[in-house]
Amino acid sequence: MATYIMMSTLTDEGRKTLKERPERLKAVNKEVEAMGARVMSQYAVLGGYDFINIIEAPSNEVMSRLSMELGSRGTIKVTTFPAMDIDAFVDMLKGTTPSGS
Amino acid sequence: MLMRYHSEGYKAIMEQPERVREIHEALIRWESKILQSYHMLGGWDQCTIFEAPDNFKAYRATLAQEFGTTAETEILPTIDMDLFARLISQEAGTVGPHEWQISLWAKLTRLAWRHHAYGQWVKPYCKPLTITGREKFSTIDGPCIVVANHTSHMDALVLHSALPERRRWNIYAGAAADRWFIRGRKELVMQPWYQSLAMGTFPIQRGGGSKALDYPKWLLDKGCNVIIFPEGTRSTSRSMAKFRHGVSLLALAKNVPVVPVFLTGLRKLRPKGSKEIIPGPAGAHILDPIYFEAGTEVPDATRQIYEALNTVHKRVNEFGDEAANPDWQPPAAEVSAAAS
Repeated sequence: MATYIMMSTLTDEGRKTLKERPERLKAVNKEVEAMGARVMSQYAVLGGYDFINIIEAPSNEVMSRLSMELGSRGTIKVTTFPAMDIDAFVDMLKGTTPSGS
Repeated sequence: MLMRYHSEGYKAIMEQPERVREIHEALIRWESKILQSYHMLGGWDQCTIFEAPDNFKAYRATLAQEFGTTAETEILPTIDMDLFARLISQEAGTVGPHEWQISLWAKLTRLAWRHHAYGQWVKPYCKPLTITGREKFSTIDGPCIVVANHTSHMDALVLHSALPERRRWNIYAGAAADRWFIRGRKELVMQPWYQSLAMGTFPIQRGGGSKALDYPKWLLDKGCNVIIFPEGTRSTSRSMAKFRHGVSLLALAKNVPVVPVFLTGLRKLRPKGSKEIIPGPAGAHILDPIYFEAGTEVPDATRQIYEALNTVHKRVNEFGDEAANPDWQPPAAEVSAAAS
């Protein structure tokens, strides 16, 4: 499974929906799992984004579909970044893992 | 925290990959705890999720780190998703405070329910429970404010058990309104009336300003004692969080003493985020009451309270929980090193 960091920002409609139905927060996580991905951790943040989600997904294709599905609802705008654990990144640069050798 | 490397940063990392961790070291120096860290492809290069005592210390770490000249950073303060969900669902409203909680029938009910509300969580799990300094209360005639460090849901239970009976009979603890006083909860212990009656708690609105102090002021006027955790929430870092000024405002307005109590071991028994309680040693060490002189400024009063608890906290960080006990002596090696 690959790791992705999804930054999301609520649209006006999304803010209204969340205020009226806060249980949607948890429901979305279940929908993400139904699409083959898994929310590893999730934070509401202050600043340029509203949420940061660390997601595991089997492939870029699954993640693209997920981003499209969530974005198409008009409640959030998402930006997705492929990510790797920082220790694995260091190992890769040092050439101690197959991908870095 | 999001990071984007400059070209010098890319060069430095290619030469010495370990340098991606420099920001971690800087954050740890500023009392933060790294939870997760990722390298990213796209508009940002690194995402680090960490817990810091406050936003300023997190920002300070980004300035202090040697990597500062080779990357730009953006700190996004986070809110736990469960807390966020509770906050946005507050259109249902919170309930309380319930003034009836100080009436005789409520006190008698609380006494009868004490085992259900408190005892069943303290005796079987806090093994042993060490309490020191109970006699410090004997010098206080009127009401007082009891404060303590806060790391666990067990804190209020143990603190209550540590107090002399005369204080327990008439003491009320501030609790977050958005967690404990939401209308319409189903679980017994989460229902506001149960909190007010059995636990003797009262709601404090986070970010409620001076209005949030109206009820504890009323309690002190009525001769009641008050418990407040001045960190405002459970701390997860090695240092205590910055104290809010509410306790000082109350103590100065009502001219009552503040009794600091240092709690130990409870983070291990039930850490933040855990529903499981692991039996283990715990302690409640009652320190000398603090009386404020007339004209004391609020920040100075807050500093005095913080320093009283932080003196013990630093000892505990260095030598372990037993160092909170007033009879504790530093190891011989430490004493001779200090003397030389």
